[in-house]
Amino acid sequence: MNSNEYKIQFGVVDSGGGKMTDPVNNSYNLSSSLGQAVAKEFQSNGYVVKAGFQYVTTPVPFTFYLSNIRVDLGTLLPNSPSTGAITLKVSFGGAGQYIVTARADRPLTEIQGLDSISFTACNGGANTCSLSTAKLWTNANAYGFGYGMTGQDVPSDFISSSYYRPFPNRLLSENAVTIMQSSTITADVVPTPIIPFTPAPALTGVPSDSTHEAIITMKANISGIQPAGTYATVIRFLATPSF
Amino acid sequence: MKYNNKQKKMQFNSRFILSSVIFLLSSVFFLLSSPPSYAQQVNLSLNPPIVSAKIKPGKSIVIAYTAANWGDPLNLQFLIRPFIPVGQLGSLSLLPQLEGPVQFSLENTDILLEKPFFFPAKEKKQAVVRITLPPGIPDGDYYYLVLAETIPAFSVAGQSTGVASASIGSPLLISVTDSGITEVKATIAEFSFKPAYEFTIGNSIVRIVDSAKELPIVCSVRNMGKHLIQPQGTITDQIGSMKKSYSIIPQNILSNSQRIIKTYSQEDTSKSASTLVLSNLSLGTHKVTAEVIFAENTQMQSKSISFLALPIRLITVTIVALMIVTLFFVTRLLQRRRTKT
Repeated sequence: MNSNEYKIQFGVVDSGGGKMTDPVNNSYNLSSSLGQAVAKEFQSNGYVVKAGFQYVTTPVPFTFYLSNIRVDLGTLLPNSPSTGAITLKVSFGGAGQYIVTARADRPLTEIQGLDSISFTACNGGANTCSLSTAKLWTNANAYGFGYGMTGQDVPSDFISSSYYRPFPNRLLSENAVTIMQSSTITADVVPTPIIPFTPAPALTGVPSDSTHEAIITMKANISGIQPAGTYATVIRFLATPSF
Repeated sequence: MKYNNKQKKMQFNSRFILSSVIFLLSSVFFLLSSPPSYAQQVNLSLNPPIVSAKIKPGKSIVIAYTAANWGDPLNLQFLIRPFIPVGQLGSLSLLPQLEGPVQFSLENTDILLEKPFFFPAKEKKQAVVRITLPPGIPDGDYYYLVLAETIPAFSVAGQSTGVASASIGSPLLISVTDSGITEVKATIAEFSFKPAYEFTIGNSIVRIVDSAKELPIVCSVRNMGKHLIQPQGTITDQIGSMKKSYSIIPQNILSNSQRIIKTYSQEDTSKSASTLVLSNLSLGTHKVTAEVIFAENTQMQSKSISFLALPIRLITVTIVALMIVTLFFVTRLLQRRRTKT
């Protein structure tokens, strides 16, 4: 797509001399150019745009899945923890590196008023959890709201399903925390050696598509003096390929 | 006559019974065959997964992003937020507001930025984003995430609830340069590993690793320039005349940040913050060299580390076994001498 004022380029460009073919299904052919030609293009158009990861291509888009958007914690009873879970899945056929972060808009807050269930500190003492460190939360007298992670690509401090962290609180401008992360480049991709320097090596393998799955379990426990009411909050998940 | 009335009555009763049975059977069949109800699922994709652009001040470009809804119908909005890199593993932190000199708008006639719209299941929606750089914008990099975000629906019915909102993002990396030349100012900040033992002999440090164990190597690059770079090169493990090379993946290292680089390797480094994991090490002295080029027409930077790979576990087990055997024989010898005397 182009006009006198702009040109949109997609796919792999500026990747060294020669033709490139989609290694998966031969669906496109690109004649690529060397760096000097890119410089020429920049001078004539005023821009150069590259879309996608230049070192691996695949027709599979980056996809984020949540099994459900409501976690019903049921009727909360004092000293009787309640849990609910969401399955998260990230599919990528591209570079494979991705991050999923999470943050709560606020603590569990009574929808009609200002009462809230604060975020958990887990069992407390030596087992006090933080935004970045999960600890055991097994004490029925330890109150609050938090989450645990199990499955692929979850932080290593979630040692078991009894380990929890509090959510970051958007009201306090706390940054979202990483709950899933993979830094693996998709396997089966074998580049040619880079002599001399080329912006992206030619591929001789076929990238493998991959789906990674984890479960986030939300837990709430209240004391006997917690005011009655219906409590709710919004948890915001963000999935993005790494840059 | 009486007989006819009785007959009619019987016919009516049998028809009534038959209708009732058919109705009951239909009801049971309907109940059994009703599809089970599922909680609302979110299954979104966004393409392209990343865009990097080099643009002159005063220019404007258009990029089309396609969101696809593979799950249930939902309300969605497109928004753009700046981000900053965090840590050395490619993490990022979103800033709360869209600010800065770069201007964004949607060319679409049916949707606006930060305005929710209904997104039916199994459909795609293209957001045509116009990116405008004002004249005189300073040279440098500006980083954004283009987001497709679901709008949480609050319908609490007497139960405490956590409601999820899902966003999927695509990094947009804008390098502003008037001349077309981007600043390259980078260095290999770290090239190291954790030895099992380390000691000094004279002026040299000897590092010993267990040849039976995996050895993670960390190589990180610091970018001190105004623009992102994509370092390339190799990491080579040499012992004697044997060499094994691993190509560095040309990932983006953003301006004023440091990142652990990755190599094309069959070893799984996803769980470790390492560049490369060496395993099944040959016995002897290894020299591992990183040769990195940060951009075309720049000088290659090189750093080396060396270590001695020994079968430490095997040696330890052997020594312990020898000690036990020696102790056994010494004890027996002493016992015999006592018996003689």
